[in-house]
Amino acid sequence: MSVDFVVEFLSSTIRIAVPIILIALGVCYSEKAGVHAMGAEGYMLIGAFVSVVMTIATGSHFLGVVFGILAAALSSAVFSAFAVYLGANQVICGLGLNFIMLGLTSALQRLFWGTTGVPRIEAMNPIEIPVLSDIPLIGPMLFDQPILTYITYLLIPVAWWIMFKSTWGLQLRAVGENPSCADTLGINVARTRSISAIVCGVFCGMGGAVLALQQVQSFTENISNGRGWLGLIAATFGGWNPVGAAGAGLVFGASEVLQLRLQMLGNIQISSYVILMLPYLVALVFILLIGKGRRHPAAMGKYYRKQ
Amino acid sequence: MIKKERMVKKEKKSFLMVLLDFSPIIGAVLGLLIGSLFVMLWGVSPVTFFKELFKGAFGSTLAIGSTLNRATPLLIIGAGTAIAFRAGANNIGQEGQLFVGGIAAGAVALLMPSLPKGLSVPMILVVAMLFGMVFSGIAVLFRVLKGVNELLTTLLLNYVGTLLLSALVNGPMASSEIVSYPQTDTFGSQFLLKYWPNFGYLHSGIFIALAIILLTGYYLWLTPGGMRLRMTGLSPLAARTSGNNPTKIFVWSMLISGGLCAVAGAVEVIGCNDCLRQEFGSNLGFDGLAVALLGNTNPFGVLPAGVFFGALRTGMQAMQRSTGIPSVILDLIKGSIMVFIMGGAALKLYIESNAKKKVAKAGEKAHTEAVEASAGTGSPELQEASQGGEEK
Amino acid sequence: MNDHLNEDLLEMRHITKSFARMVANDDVSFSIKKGEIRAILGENGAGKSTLMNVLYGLYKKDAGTIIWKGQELNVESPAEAIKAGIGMIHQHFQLVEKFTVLENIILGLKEGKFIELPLDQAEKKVMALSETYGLNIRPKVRVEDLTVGEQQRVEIVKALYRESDLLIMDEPTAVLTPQEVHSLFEVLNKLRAEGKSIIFISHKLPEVLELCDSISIMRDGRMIQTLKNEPGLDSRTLASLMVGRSIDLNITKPPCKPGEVVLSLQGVSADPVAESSGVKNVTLDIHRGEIVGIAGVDGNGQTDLSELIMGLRKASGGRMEFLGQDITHSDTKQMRNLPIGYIPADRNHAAVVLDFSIRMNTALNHPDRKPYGSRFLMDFKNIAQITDRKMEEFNVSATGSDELVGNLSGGNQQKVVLAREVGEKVDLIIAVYPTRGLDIDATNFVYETMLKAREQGTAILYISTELEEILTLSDRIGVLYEGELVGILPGENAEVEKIGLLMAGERVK
Repeated sequence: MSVDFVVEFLSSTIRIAVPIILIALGVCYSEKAGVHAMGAEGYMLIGAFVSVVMTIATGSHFLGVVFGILAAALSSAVFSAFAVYLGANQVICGLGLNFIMLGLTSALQRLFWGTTGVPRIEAMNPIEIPVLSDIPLIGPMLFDQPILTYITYLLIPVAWWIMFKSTWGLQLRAVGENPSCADTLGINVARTRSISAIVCGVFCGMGGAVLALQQVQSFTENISNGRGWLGLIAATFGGWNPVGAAGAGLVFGASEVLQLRLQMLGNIQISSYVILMLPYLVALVFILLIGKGRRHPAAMGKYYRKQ
Repeated sequence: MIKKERMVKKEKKSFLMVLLDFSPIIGAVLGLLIGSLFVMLWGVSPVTFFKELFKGAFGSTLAIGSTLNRATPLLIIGAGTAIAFRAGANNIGQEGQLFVGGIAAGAVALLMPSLPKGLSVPMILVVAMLFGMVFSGIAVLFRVLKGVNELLTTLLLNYVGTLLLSALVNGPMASSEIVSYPQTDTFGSQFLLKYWPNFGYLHSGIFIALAIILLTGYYLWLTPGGMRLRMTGLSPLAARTSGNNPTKIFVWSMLISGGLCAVAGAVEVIGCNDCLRQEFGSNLGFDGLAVALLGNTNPFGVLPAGVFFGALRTGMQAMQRSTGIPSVILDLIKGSIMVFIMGGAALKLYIESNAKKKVAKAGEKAHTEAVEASAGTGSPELQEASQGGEEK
Repeated sequence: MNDHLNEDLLEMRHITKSFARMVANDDVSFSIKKGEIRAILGENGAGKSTLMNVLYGLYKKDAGTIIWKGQELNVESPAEAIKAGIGMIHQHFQLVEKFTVLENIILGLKEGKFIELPLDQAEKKVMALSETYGLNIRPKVRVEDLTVGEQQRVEIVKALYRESDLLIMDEPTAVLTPQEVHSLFEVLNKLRAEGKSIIFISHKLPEVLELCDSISIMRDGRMIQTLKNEPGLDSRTLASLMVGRSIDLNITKPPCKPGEVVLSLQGVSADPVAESSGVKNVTLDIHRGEIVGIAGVDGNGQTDLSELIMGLRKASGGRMEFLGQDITHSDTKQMRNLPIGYIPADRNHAAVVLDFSIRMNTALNHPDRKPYGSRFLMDFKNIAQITDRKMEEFNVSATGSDELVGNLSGGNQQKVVLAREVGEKVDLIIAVYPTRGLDIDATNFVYETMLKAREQGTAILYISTELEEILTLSDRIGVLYEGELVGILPGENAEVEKIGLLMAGERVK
């Protein structure tokens, strides 16, 4: 195998993994605070759709991303009103939200562009980082990427630091582990949880924007196609630690790239649909490996009501 | 012993509480309202929306037949899902199980083309049941051996099931003729259900669905086994203490649930098609999940809920033809219904516990230390699913 | 600085707090000085915790005022109480198990909303506090890896770190070993020497006499008396004040006529799981017409023993017989088929299904057997009739037999359980904490039911942490300590001191 192939493979892995990593980071925040992030798929969809619409409308990728994030944040706020404040079942509400977003984006897409489909958007150009991109192997792999990828690089350690080194991160983890204890210490459990859920929405919205603007360069129906779930599993596998979750997200990226490469080879005897299963099978293996070892935050999915 | 006044008067319920008792219906109404407001973007008024929807679903015998045709698989899936939810098992793998059932139908019809008429359909149903049980059995195995919650496993298996079907109809099971859409060869006629073209292509699968509704309803509400299953969903520890095995009940409810969803797939294939097609009934699985919730995870509630969703699908398709409003709005309505049902149930619980708190804080002694529940299957999600299903 | 040493640090005046059914605090007044350890003594249900929860901002008082450091204080939440300098250490520690000690201590501090965790700075302060009071804190260890005694010390540091001047300790010794109690008292003495005030809630007389400067006694929601702990004061005086009447249940118990052995435990053991202590080599025979009371501090293997007998727990050794039949390895299903009534400790989760009707809860154990039904059909008409009859017999008040058990009061729930478990004649009753959380009427009803069953020749294993009811009911008294049956005494004129010592783990000949 040539060096070029490896570099190319890894560089695409990173590109493809970025949305999954972003979602995994968001899921870490939501679930570490005790809120199931079943709506990740839906946030991603709305984030992707709005970012595409706004990019086309304003001609600015930046504004597209911002509005995509805002839309996803808004939907996660609605979710927390139901799930965190009212105490509605988080799993079903999350699933419901996914359907709402699927219906909404598909219908609006047809309303705006009819059957012709969404026009193609100009890609976000990769930016070479001087000096760094000249490092052999690593340079072209890591530092010849679009801007959002670089932001993701930064977000991983930042997310980790906030969660494990900041006062707010401690509170966030406390409401996910023992909300009644946090409550007696004067922490507003519902507010902390809903902020975490909204942070999850922000990350997923950005993930959707990256997927649509950087990879697909357009919007197609159900564009996320299960990536939200992969992000969820990556977060679980990473033990809800942003760094671990990002690592697991990278594995999903690799499995997807591998699947694409295998399909391109064309002369292998496996059905392309079986190859398409690859990421999901990897996810199942992940789940099996997680097993009992990974204890989820003790109060995950449990509604807490102030006494 | 002094005889005390034993009977306590029933308290009068507030209007809101009475309303919230019907939270599934409220959810459905609100979901439809959202849909009707949304279509205003297409310049269609809400009134027209409801009119068109009703006309499309019930406006003619053809429409009614087609509504029932769409309801058929949903009734089966709804009943199967109800069984899992009532037992506290989080089966959300309906979609995958449905496709596996379709594969079973294809396998039987294509591998045993000489099966006699009386045996052909029962054989398909039995094999579909088995396929579905094996497929949901993967999630069960994960849970029982490794303690992995079935939520994510069943969800991922949806994708696996979908792709498995595609792989088969594009590969080993692909039609020998040149066809425009990936599908298998046509099944022998003895494998296909009777249908009535004048009545919206309604097929005799509706009777299978009704039988399953009756059977699961009877089982859940009238038999000791059903009571124990519901008990496990509500309180695994109580189930264990009264001599049941919650793990065993979990396993069987998951398997039966998966099996029934697969039967739905098989019925759909042999009722509405003459061969196995790629993605023959996509979305049916998730619609079925919504049907189960709307039916309050009660098979007898699933009956109207299934017809409602059947009507919704038929009506939306008719509307797409007449007004150009895309039928994908159905997903929006479905999701809203799910969220509102859960919201209503939570609101009810919220108000009730408010009222109870006023009464129940009976001083120090009320602080009973809850002994940590460590019944065999006690995971937080387990209780949670029962909450999801149990409209508490 | 507060240098008026004689001024009250805290004064609670005429506090009244009532819940829908009962007055939990009736015009209670109470005060404590700086550097004082004050015991609040009282039976369960006397209103001690209610008073403290009012002080700590968990309950809102109906009437009365709280004067804190000379000023009126209105606390709406624990956070405000903490801020004012009141710390409370609950019987169940409020710690995040997965966090380190240090993280637990600094959790929720408002100094800077969003900053880097001041871990180093906090560690210094914690170590200084630990040094001063001899607390032996290991700041970087996770709480889940600490012993109960250590966790309690973390709670103390947590309060001190927040500069509490008053510590409320709710039954702090209930979960401790004697050695841990000893070192806790050392710590508390040091705290007193440093001018901290402590409210020590307890119903253990010797501890109170050993530690406290003064003792306030509560009974039935009222403050009865406050005494100085002077040399002349003895447990007897305190006990009579605390209980009020010698025994407030007028129960006449006919003499015991023990018959054949119903349940025979022969050196049975069960491995400890999670936080329970397991069962170690317990040997005990229970006869017809006899109540064997099992006393012990909570968490010393009581639930383990009952679950072991009921087949909910696997036996790791020994042998059990029921009327001569080997039941050592019978599972719960098989045990349920024997004429045994089982009243589990965790009523809400194990004994009833809250979302089932009274009828379904009555048929809970044997829905597939006559008269409740057959394998394929439940006999709802019969179940309704039987339930109605039992509700009559057991005085269950409800809107009807179709009401959800979750809507009933604790007492009525327990009556539903009793009606199911002992409504028909059984040979053995295993009752675990059957009066926990019940009001006086319901408690008396449980006693009556037990005594009636005893008259009918039922063997009864009665497990409770309330020594009073053990003494009232039992024909023989066994004491469990860390899963071991450390002594069996006659119930007639039982030697309370001896039982107390056994409960505390002291071997008595």
